[in-house]
Amino acid sequence: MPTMAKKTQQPPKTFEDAIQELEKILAEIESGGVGLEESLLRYERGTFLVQHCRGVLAQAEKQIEQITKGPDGTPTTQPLEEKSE
Amino acid sequence: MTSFFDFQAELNARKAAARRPRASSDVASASPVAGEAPLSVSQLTAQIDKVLKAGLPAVLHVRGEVSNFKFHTASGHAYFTLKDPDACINCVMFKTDFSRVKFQPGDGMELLVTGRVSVYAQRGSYQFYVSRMEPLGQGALELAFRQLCEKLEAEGLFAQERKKPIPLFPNRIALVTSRQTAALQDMLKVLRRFPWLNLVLYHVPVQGDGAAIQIAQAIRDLHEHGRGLGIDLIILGRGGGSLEDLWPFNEEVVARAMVACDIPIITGIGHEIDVSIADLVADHHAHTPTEAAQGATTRWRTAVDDVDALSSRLGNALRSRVQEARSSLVNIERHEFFRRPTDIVEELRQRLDDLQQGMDLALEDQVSDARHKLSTLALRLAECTPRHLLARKLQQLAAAEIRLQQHHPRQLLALKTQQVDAMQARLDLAVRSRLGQTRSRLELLDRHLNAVGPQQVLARGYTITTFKKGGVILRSKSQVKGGERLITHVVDGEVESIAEDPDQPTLF
Repeated sequence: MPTMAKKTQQPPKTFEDAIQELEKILAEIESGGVGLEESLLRYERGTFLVQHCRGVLAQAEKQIEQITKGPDGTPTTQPLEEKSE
Repeated sequence: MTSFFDFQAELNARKAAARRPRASSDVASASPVAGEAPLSVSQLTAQIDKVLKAGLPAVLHVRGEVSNFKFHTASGHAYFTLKDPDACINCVMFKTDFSRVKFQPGDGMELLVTGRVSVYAQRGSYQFYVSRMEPLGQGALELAFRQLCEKLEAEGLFAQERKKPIPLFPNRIALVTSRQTAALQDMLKVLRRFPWLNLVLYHVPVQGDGAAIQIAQAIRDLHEHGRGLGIDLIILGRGGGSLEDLWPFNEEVVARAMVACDIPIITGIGHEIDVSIADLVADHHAHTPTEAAQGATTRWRTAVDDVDALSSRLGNALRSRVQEARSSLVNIERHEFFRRPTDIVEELRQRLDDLQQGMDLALEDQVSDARHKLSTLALRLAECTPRHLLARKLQQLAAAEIRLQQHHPRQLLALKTQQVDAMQARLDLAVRSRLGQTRSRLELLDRHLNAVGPQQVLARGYTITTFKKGGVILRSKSQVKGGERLITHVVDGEVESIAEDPDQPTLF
């Protein structure tokens, strides 16, 4: 059910994974190797991925973080207080 | 350090002087010939040391060829001989000095060394204490660079196959550089065009003593914890500078840390023309920090367009898929079946009729079979009525009576009589026939007997003589005694005679 699938859509871990999945979906639909129902499901997923990718690209500028080492020597990150130089 | 050694030597000299308080302070003029007290070995050595120092500048530069180079691992000191065709001098370089030497000295290498000459009292020899060394004809750093290059190359660390692929869309990039540098600003300028990127600064000094160690440590930290912090790419950047300034990036510790790191590394160090060891082992090597940042974001630059293109391709793909489905539906509709849908029903109906007919026939056959069986059974049942049973029993009774009569005694007697008569007749016949046979056999024997018997011989004129007494046949004259009575048999009777004694002439 396409409507149900929409609710359970999970975004891929990375942008690269999203693009790869999109390419795969396109190849499957374009080759006609999957049935019509399945094609619709893939299309649903594809549009979700496109929205996801656009969302990633529209994100606001991130603050730069800095790696500092904790007392036990484990590196952690914290926002970098940027002083203009 | 040179000054330290000078100071140390001076201190030794002073100690030596203090040990002989009464001796003249002008040791150079002292002479045993002049009757002065003899010197101890230590005193002499100290004086030699002093003379040497007094006669030579505090800092000397010497050139020569290295031989017998030995690095003492435990102490960290280096020992070698510096020579030219006519002379040689033992050299020592202490750990603190030698650890600053970037290249690896070896036998046959022409060196320019800086240091001082001093006496090694314990062994009674003088030697050159080297504080700096440099290869002749080229800079020490160039030589060091070349040597490390050859070593790492031989290990295959520059090989392209060893290098990790750079992620197309890095998400979280660690910048390993100094906070204060223009290089960082250059990189940020490029990277900030992609506001969605996560950037993490790992601050390290990028020049001077100890920078290499800290850079290496930063890379090791990222190798161990970077993935946990979501980092998928490292950029190692530094602006331009002299070879000395860039030297940390040519250190082996940095190269080893980079090789071991499992997160891909892009380097952007110095200017266009600079190539460092770090560049050679990096997974991707850009010429400047700016280029490194650009290299990290190549695909991001077109990402917006790429997504748009994929999006429209997706729409087109689905449209054409739907179109395809629609046209195959049209094809199906054109199929004969859909054009004359009742044909198949009619066909089925006909087949149904056939089946019905066949079924009727089969049913009729079965009914007539059943009917036949029924009438057979009725017949058999009729035979089972009391009247029929009685009649059959009577029949059986009559038959039994006939058989019983055959066994009556009278009948048996007649039968036996008959049998006896028959046997009598057979017996008579047998006896008669046996008698006839015997008779004819007897006649045959009689004829045979006559043929072989004496009668025939006698008939032919032969005689047979027997003794009257005993009847034995006379076969030899020796049997006969005189006066014996003999009987001669002839064909028609017997003649009796008396034998004479053949050996005795007749007396009368």
